[in-house]
Amino acid sequence: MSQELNVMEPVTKRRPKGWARWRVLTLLMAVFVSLAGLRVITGQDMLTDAGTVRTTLTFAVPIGLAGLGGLWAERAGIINIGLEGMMIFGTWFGAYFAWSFDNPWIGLIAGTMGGMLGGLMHAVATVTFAVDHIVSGVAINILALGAMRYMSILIYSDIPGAGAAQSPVAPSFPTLNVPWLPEALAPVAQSGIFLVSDLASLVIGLTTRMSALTLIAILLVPITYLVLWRTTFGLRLRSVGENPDAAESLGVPVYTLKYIAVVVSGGLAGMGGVFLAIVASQIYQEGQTGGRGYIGLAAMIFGNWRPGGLAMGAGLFGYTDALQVRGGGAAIHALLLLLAVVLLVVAVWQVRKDRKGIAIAGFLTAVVLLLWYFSTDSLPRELATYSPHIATLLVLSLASQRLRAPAGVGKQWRASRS
Amino acid sequence: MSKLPRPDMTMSGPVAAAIAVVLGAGVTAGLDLALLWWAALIIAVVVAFGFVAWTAPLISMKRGAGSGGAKEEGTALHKTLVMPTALILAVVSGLLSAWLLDLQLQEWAAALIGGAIGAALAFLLFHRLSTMLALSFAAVFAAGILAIGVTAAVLYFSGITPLDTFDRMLEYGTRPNSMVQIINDGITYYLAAVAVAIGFKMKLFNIGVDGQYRLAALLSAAVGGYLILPPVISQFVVIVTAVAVGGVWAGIAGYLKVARGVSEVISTIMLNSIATGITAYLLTEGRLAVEISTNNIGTPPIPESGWVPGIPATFLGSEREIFGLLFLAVAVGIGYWVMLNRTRFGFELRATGQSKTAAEASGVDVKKMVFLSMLFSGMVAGLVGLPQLLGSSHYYALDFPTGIGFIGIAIALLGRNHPVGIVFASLFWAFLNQAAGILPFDGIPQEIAVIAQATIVLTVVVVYEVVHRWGRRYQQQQIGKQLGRTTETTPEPAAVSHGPEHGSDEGDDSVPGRSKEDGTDDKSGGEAQ
Amino acid sequence: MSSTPSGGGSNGPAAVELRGITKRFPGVVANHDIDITVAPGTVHAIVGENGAGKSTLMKTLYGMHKPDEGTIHVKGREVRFNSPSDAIKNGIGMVHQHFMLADNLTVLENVVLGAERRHGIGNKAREQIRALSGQYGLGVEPDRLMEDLGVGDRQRVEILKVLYRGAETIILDEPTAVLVPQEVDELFDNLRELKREGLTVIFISHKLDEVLSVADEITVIRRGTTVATADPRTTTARELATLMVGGELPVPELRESTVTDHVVLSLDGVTVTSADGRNVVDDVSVDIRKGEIVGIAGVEGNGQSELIEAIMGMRRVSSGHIRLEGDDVTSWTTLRIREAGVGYIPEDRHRHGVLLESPLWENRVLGHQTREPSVRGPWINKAGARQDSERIVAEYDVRTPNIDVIADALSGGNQQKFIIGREMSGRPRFLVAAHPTRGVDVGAQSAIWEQLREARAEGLAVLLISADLDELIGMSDTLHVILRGRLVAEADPTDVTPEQLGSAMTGAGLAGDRQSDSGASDGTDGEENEGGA
Repeated sequence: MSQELNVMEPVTKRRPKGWARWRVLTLLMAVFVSLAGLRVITGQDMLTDAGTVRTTLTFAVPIGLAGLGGLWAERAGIINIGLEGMMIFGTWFGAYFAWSFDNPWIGLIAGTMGGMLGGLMHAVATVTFAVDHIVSGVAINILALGAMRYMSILIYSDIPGAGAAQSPVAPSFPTLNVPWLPEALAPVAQSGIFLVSDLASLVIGLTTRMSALTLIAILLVPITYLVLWRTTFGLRLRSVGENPDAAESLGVPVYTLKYIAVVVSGGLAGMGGVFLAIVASQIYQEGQTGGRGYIGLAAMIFGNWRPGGLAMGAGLFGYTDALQVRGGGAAIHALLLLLAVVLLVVAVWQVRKDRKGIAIAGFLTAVVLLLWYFSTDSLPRELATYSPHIATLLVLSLASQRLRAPAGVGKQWRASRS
Repeated sequence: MSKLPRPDMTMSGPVAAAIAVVLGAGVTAGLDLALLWWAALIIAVVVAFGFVAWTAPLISMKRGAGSGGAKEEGTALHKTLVMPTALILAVVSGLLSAWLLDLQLQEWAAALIGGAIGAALAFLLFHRLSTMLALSFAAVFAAGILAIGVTAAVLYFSGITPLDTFDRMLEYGTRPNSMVQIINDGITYYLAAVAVAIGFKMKLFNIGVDGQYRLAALLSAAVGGYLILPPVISQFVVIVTAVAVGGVWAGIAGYLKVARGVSEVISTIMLNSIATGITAYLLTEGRLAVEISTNNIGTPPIPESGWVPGIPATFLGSEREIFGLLFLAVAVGIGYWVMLNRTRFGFELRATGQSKTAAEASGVDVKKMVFLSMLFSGMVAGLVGLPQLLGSSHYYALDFPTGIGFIGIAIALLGRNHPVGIVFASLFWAFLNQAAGILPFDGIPQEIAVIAQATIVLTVVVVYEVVHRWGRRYQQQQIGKQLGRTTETTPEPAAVSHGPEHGSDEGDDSVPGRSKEDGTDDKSGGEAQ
Repeated sequence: MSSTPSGGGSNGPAAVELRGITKRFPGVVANHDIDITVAPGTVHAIVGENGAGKSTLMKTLYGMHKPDEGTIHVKGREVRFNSPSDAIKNGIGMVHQHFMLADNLTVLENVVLGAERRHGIGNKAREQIRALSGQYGLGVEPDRLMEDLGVGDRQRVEILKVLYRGAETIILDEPTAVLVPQEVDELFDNLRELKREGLTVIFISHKLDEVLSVADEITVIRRGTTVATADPRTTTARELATLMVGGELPVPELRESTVTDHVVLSLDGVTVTSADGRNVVDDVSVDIRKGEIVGIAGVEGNGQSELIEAIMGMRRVSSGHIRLEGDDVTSWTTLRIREAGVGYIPEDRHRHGVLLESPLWENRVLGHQTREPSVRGPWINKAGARQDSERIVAEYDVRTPNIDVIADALSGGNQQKFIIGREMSGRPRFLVAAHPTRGVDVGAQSAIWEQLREARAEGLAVLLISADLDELIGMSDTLHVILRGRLVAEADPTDVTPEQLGSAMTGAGLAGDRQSDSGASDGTDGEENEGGA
């Protein structure tokens, strides 16, 4: 596994009591309020309108699914870098089967199974043969890319509208709409009143044109939590990731659970691929995944290996991605202001904690960002496209220290019994 | 072999070697008159090998290289594994040398020399090939055969005849112009793989070689194009720029890892994307780029005084040229080997990669090591685009090759991070790419090469792990037998990392080494070594 | 030392009976012809020296291996175990020497893992755990996070684990390895309680005095086979030792003093603060002189590791100074300290002492990569390193076929001997020796002691940290006790007893009377004082 460096502060892990229990919710609300405020100040309506909300979901789902895949695997102790490749399997198989059977649900099943196939390969390499996890993942990514291109050439060359790098159009999933609410709220959303209209936009965005698959994906987050933290199966799986020797000594079938975890991980990534192919676009296209497998892993780390945090991370990345697509450089430009304000707050907080160095660094960066904001109108197009990646990097740099991975993750484990 | 009667004398090593070589050459020449040259050569090398094996007990040679530590010749494993491997390697080398020489010399002369080389290698390998090395080769062979099998199966199930395909590929790939292309591609891949390998030796995954080399190529091309400098200085400045940019870009990931604990896997991947963005931003008219042709923009072409001349490949029969920066690649390879095995820095690098805790206790500054390792990896990565830039295209445009970073990772894995192994892996990879280029003309998707490549990476990785682990166990058993102990051992001696424990070391001790029982250990198998 | 009243009857079929058990591994016979009969309701001890085959035997009994020959009978019936679950089903539970606990899970989760069917994973399980804890006096709380628990508590959780699964026969593998005499007594009280409730206890150890105090019957294993059964009431430790090693257990003898006046290392008010604010090393001041071995006794987790790391430059010193013959080395890097002539024999040789996958000659370079003979300038001097490795192998009697063997292939004792040889090269002026003979077989142990003594006679100054009280008493010229990061007592090695030391190690003072800063009265044991590191 990768070289481990001890930069971690010890985390005193206490179950938060009292108001702290709601800290996730509080954080979300704080973020929402700041965005609303930002909208009013900068006049960038894109920041919080319903279209952005929908697009955020559309972009967050594949990342979230990939992240969930990563979570399942890592909770069982296996690092799955191959999520990208498993997603690619999902995009290809999903599009192909959906198109040839003219039914998105068959595409979903096929794509998920394609991902599971990738997961199975990874499981065989890392569990049975105890190969280094990252190496195996990288190999699978290489394989997926080439294999799917090969398949495309074989199958799509003679089909109009398709070819080596894309599939024909596939049917989409049914979309859901809440009947009366969106129309009622529409005028409120248009009004432009701070916070009220933003809330209305949020609601409208969440209740219109939501794909069935999006709903399924969202539900998978609480389902993952329930399965992994509230069932026997989940306890055993987590124990395998924390201390496989202990689990083995208690008769837990370690290999079996690792296999299941990695195959499920692949399936989730595959599902993410299906989403990309059928919901986010309507075809399989080479390069569609765009690194989302890795961003999903970043979301998982950001979420401290928990489904709730992961969803937040996916939301964050989805939001930046949505913003740059809808609003281009100008919208991201507005975020600079927000970032500057956040850094100022952080700097003040660090001063209180007597960490002068970081405080000064934060303050200076905030000043630079402010200067940048005021001296330009928007961010260059090319850079704005990669704002999710920059966001990932920033988030990881700031957050990495207080996180706690499952204790046994990444270890090439072998059963001790002969 | 032992059954054949032997003269009762001792023979010195060099004499036996000389006789073997003469045998090899002579038999080849002789049989060549009657058979095809390659059949003659094979038989000759086998005969020479037989001779070597037969005279082995007569030779009083100081047993040298075997790093297995156990006395090897005569053991069962030596007979079943090392000898056949040595034989196959000798035959293959003989054939390859003869074939290469054939391009310049007459067929009979080439075959003769090839036979001699094969025989010499037979002698050398028989006496010097250690079990572990033989196992490595065997592992790669096995993986290769597996991969060929899988590829053939894929072809077959796609309705294409495997043998024809392989035949076509072989024929096209060995044409002179193809070979030059293979060498040129190989040079680029080699540099990328060494960059990755430097990281791997430290258990760091520099997935960012791709972004590093592209950014480095763009910026150094811009420097070369805009800054007109006198001949040697221009090339030098371009190279230094590339190295610096690559180093800086990787250094960011290294710094984040050391200071903030960010996983370099994710940070380098993110940096790749950001590099793409920066490149796209800079490569527009009005910033760094100018129009090169109707559909292409790029940096201003470097004037001819800034180019690196190529090496004419007439000895291969081609009119094309090999990149002059071949020498740079060779230098990098040698530098890599020397650094790793002969310098203190290399020792500390390997030690940290094996066991960060042991390195720390021995005085190594682990954080500095991690950072430097990423830095060097990035610096070498910066070089990747240069053979192409300085030797062929002379500008960085929209069509500059991409994706070489990922190929570098695969090749480093295939070549086991070994400077020589990577050479073979690079050439092999380039061969597959090049040879498959002919296939679309026959209606076969050339991506079959990609499938072959990916499969072989996966199989090599798995097979190597299995073989390596088994080999270690075997070695330990041998040692255990030699030392004649009858005390306890535990069954899984392989390098397994183990959960955090309370470092109590009591318990079964007088035992051929176990890192599992006796306390904690956070190394993880032999993979990216 | 109270002897235990024999609990429930020795009537009825044997709780466990092992007949002719033989287990082979590639190249080695670990157990052969083992015959043991364990009477129900008793505490049965199995003793043998390191490497005798005890742990392998217990793994067989617990179903982690299958024996190559022989039979196992539980309560009169022959059984075959394919996995620990089978053993558990037959009422056998094992408390491992190395605790099998997941730090990030709670006590409850650790206990119910694998046995979820018994009482679920929610409130019913919680009730059950509380009930068992109360019944056997274990004091375990289900919702605490495992990593917050200290060593003694962890052991009690392990015991609770087996009780939760309805064990009737409990195997304890070297349970007292991490405990101090007072805590050992607490553990033995727990065991007597278990016996009173009708359970059978099998207890593996190599500490004879403890065994004699609690066991009802003793089986001695040597070189993989049972050699004798002894009755603790009529056997002495010396007789047992003779049976165990076929000779007497060596005890380092005291020799003539070689202590000089010249101070080599001086610790002055050294304090190390852990990340969560506690002083894991608290104002430690001690001088170590040329020709002197200063020993520090203490329960694991009281700051010894951190003190060593501070001296070696691997950990920051918050206040105080460390001086090496006049130079202030407090903030020096590990490399510089080593180059200044400080050798280090680490506590955990696999993590800190050797590169397991490198050949022996490369391991010679480890820790000495800036000095002769391994290095010339920036280059590694392969010939020099090899030559010196040969010398070490010869001088320190390291059993290895040659120096190209990778370190992992050597036994622990030989690895340790090589490490010591390496650290003594280059004429160090100061040596930090942490548990130098831990896990090392008896022969190598005497050799190592001898080497240390010889070096001391030549003027080496040594800081010795150990959990082996005999070793400390026998080797040290000056003996200190560390508790919660402070040096709380100084003892005279020529007349202090292990019991007195043990008592000081838990805060009860050398003479057994309570000291004012002892927190031991609430029955807590020597917990690990330090948060994650």
